[in-house]
Amino acid sequence: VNILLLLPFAAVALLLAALVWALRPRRNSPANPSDLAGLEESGRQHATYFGVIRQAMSAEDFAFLAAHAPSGLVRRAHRDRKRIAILYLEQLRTDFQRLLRVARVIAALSPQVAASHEFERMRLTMQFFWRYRMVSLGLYAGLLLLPQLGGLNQMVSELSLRMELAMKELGERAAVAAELASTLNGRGLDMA
Amino acid sequence: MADLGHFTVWLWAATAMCQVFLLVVLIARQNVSIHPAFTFYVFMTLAQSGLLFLAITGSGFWSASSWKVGWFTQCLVLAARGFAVAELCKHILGRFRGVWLMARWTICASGLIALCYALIVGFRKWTLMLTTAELGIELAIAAVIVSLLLFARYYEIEVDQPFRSLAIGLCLYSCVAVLNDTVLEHWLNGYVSLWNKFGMLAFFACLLLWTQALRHSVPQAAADPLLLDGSVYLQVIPEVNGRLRALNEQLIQFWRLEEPRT
Repeated sequence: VNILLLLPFAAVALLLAALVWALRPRRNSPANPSDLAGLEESGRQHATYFGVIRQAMSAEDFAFLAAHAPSGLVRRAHRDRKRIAILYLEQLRTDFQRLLRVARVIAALSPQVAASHEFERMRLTMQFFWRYRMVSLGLYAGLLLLPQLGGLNQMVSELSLRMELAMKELGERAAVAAELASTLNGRGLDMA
Repeated sequence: MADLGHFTVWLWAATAMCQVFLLVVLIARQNVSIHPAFTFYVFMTLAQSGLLFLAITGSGFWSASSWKVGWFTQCLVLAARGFAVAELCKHILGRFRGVWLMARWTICASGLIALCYALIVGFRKWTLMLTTAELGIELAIAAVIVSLLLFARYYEIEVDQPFRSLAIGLCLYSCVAVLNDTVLEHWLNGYVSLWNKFGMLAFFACLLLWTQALRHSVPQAAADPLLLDGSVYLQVIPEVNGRLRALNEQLIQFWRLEEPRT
């Protein structure tokens, strides 16, 4: 079979797949003011749970447990730590998606958008979801071992500080975003 | 007309009736003012059918004059389709000025890339130049429509049902035309009749889809959204991108973590 004959077929198949993807119903609920204003709330929740996560991921606690507890309990602790890591990962994704929606609403309502910012966000989005899949797979498949996850403690501590500062600022922005979203819903951009 | 066969003749007649009906629907439902370019495109396809009918009945399907009329009218129809697609893009994204200003260049670029791709891949013989050019333009139209819908999805802009149906019909017909032209280039002699039938059937199906979509008056376009001050975007978006980058870095940390000293 001539390869040149296949190329247009491949292009059409690609276009049709993209068409179906673009037309498929949205899974997410539509963005609404409370969703966008929830950014600040999300920051607070993070701050609340950071302590628990930090404790759960404490390397000292794990070392103590490994030395003194029976193997069944150690295994259970492993499982719990893994579960916490997965939950933490989910939370990162939720935050990422929420921020993306805010950015899209703002971009849609701006008289001028910078292609560089928009393409950077698109690149970051693709990068994030690729990495997210890899890390998820790593966690579920057990490739990211618990001793490695123990370092999450440090990571969470660092993020905690940054999040508290960032969320304080974003809280103010969220109020603006909430106004924007009501403008969108009221003036033609249906978020459904 | 005998060279065409009964099926093609009947399909031709049904298509012409459907084209007339669609034009009547567009006029009766006062959709012409909203879709002037699309109405012109439908009119052009009807005119093409009429001219081809006259040419074929007058001098036969395989005559040089039919060939010339066929390709001349096809060029006009393709140009009209291009305007219809541009109109569709403006309807869907035009109200969102910032996104539209950026998207139109990206959409044009995607069309241009598809056109170049088709011309580079398809062009081998001068005798097939017209078919190759048509293939390129059809692929470009399909790419433009897909890019448009991807943009709308990305920015969560809802595409009203009539516009959605128009986009689907135009895109699907272009895809069918690309496949037809590709096969036609390779098996020119034995395929013309089947190519005609397949293309006509696809177009007939699109006409039905468009008639169904436009049977009601298209609601007047929503008022332009109240746009923000330009400075909001410049202040907020870099910050949001920075936050997204920070979240991204958190994922990298999963792989870079060192084993704790236990």
